[in-house]
Amino acid sequence: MRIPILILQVAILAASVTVVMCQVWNFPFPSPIAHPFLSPKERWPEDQIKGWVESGVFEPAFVQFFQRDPERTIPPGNNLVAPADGVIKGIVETPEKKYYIVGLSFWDVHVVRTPVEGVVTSVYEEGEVVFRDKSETEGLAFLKEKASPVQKTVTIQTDVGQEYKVRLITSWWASRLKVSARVGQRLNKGDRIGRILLGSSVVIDAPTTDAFSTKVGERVVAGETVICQK
Amino acid sequence: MSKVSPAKYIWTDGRFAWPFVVTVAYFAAAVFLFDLAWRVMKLPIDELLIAASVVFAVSFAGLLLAFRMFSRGSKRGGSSS
Repeated sequence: MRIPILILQVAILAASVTVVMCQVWNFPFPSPIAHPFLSPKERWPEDQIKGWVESGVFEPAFVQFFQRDPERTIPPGNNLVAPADGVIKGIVETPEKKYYIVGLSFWDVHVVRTPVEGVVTSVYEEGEVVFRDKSETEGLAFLKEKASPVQKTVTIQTDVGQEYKVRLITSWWASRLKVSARVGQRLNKGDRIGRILLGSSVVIDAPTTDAFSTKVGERVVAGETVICQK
Repeated sequence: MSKVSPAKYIWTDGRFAWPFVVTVAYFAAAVFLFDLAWRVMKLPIDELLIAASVVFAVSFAGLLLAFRMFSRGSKRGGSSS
């Protein structure tokens, strides 16, 4: 009887020491043992993710979480849907265009969807030169407060001849974008067009006639939130 | 009055003493729960420390009381722990 009790006691002591060691080892970030009890934002704090980006080594559980791609219920009707999950950072109007800017956080789904139905007429890449000084990007409405002109632009022509551009913009230190839409491809509203592989913003270049119904600071869901009634 | 060796509180009769095992597990759980509370509750650290100290003091007193009762029960029953 003594040996089974001793084994049980050793197991309890080993588990206790493991819990404490995990706490100490991971401090100030949460121990993996605490992960199931925390929300994604608490589970992987921003500073920890930034550290991973700089080192290039990510926790597998975070990578799995980051790569999630949930299905969405696309609302019917003649309207525009949000291109990405995130918070509306700005709606900027110029004489030629309206820019609708959605900021993504590390914990948002990073799959980008088309806001309208139409045909892809071009997929344009920029970002050969990575500016690290904000002053170099001043004056660009879609890059306000962001020295990150690494972007891919998908141009979509609707059936009524209107042109929308969806810009996938990433931070200079992430610099990873993947566009799945191809020129000539017909897209239904809310279809996936690409993925941002960390950070940052998605911008719609829309005609000036579009009146957006959402406000700056609101949270939107890609493919589900109606942002403009046509 | 019989003297008890301090080692008896850790190791007795070819196994660990249960109060020692329970106390180590209790402290590990306390550290884990305090860390979890700090991350989830978003309380200022001073308020959290006061609340945690009260909970710790009450639960630790309860644990000591349980050890005492267990020890008396064992002595009456004739077994040693």
